[in-house]
Amino acid sequence: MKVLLTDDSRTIRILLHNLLDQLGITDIHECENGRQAMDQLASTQFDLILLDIHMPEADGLTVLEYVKCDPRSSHKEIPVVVISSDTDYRQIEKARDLGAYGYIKKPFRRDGLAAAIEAAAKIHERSQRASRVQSLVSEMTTGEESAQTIIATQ
Amino acid sequence: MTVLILHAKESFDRVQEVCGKFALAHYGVLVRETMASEWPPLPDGLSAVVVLEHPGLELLAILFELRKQFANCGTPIFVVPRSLNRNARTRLLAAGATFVCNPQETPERLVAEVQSCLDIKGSLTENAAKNLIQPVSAATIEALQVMGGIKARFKDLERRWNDPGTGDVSAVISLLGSVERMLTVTFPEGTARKLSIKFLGGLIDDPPEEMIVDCVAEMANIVAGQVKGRMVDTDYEFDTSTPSVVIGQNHEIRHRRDLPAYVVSFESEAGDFFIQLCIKERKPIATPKGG
Repeated sequence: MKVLLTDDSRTIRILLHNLLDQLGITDIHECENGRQAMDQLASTQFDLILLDIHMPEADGLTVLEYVKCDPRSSHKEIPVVVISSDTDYRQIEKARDLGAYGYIKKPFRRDGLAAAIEAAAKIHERSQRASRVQSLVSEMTTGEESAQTIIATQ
Repeated sequence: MTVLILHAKESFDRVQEVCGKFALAHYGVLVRETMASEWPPLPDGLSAVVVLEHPGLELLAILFELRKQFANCGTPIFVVPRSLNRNARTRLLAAGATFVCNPQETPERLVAEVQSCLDIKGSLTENAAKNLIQPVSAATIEALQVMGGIKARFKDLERRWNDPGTGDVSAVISLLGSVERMLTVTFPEGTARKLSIKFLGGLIDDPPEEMIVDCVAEMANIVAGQVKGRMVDTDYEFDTSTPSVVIGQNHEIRHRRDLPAYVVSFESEAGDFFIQLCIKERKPIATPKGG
């Protein structure tokens, strides 16, 4: 699993990196602002995004909007967990409306955050499995149709 | 508005000075020489009472009498003691003083103190402070406990015009909205270092200065963010800036000279520290009448 971790606080990045390590997630890409995050998202495919809100250059809601709404985004189905010190319910609603999977308020408890990350990762895995099954079904259907066509023409 | 000045016998010269400044600020002034044993009848409808330069025990007795008389009026009582130490300030506030000024307070500062209480929308600034200080205290204690496992306790609250206190690492956040001004968290170096080690969960035994700065900034962010969420849809809601950090041994952060600072001090397992809240309620801009 490849994770994008974006927070302008190095302290928070260290804590989250350690937490992800403990969850067995080691392919972690860190960014310290929204602009870096969007550059990474344009060039790399991630499976999970952890996102702060208040950051320089581009804030988390801008990144979230890009991920979920921009036609160029290849991450529309990827879960985004927002981790922010902003406890204003209007921010939380904005994040939810833009498609955030979860919103964790700072100060956060490690076990609560771990649970949210694991849940988001599972949802993503299920969604990927569902996509693979769907692809297989499509292939089989195409194969069946081809076989029937061959039989019909013989 | 009328201010009552209660003074001790030997303070007459100082009283003249103070009366003159209040008169310049267009206050009506009543003056009474007071001893607790000879309590003069006090007029009604006073905006504020200034108790000037009584000795300690006398002062407590006077405050007791004043509290009886003004208990239901909300009339603020400003005390200018002859001398002051930390314990005395706490005792005077507990005895009924609304504000305890420094003994060497200039008459101009005393008038400004009374004005800021009375003229700015009937002491709503004081209400704003009360509405913000408790959430700030709660958010601070929670942030330390949850992020660092550090137990902290509220220790003291003081309202200061100058001498806000010194520290070695401070994070400063601007508050913008109906309440405007600044929140500052200040630590001695040792406390900041221990805080960072705890925040980092022991991952870094000896954090470099840049990590300590980052931890302090993040803590201020968390406190401000918590308070912001609690103040939403109230008269005191605000937005916050990203924190700036000041480093330097024994530095002092001062805000505007015409605004008092509310200094909330804490004790914790990592050491003592304080938060300074300097606030001014923003007055609405008058809109011109159409013609």
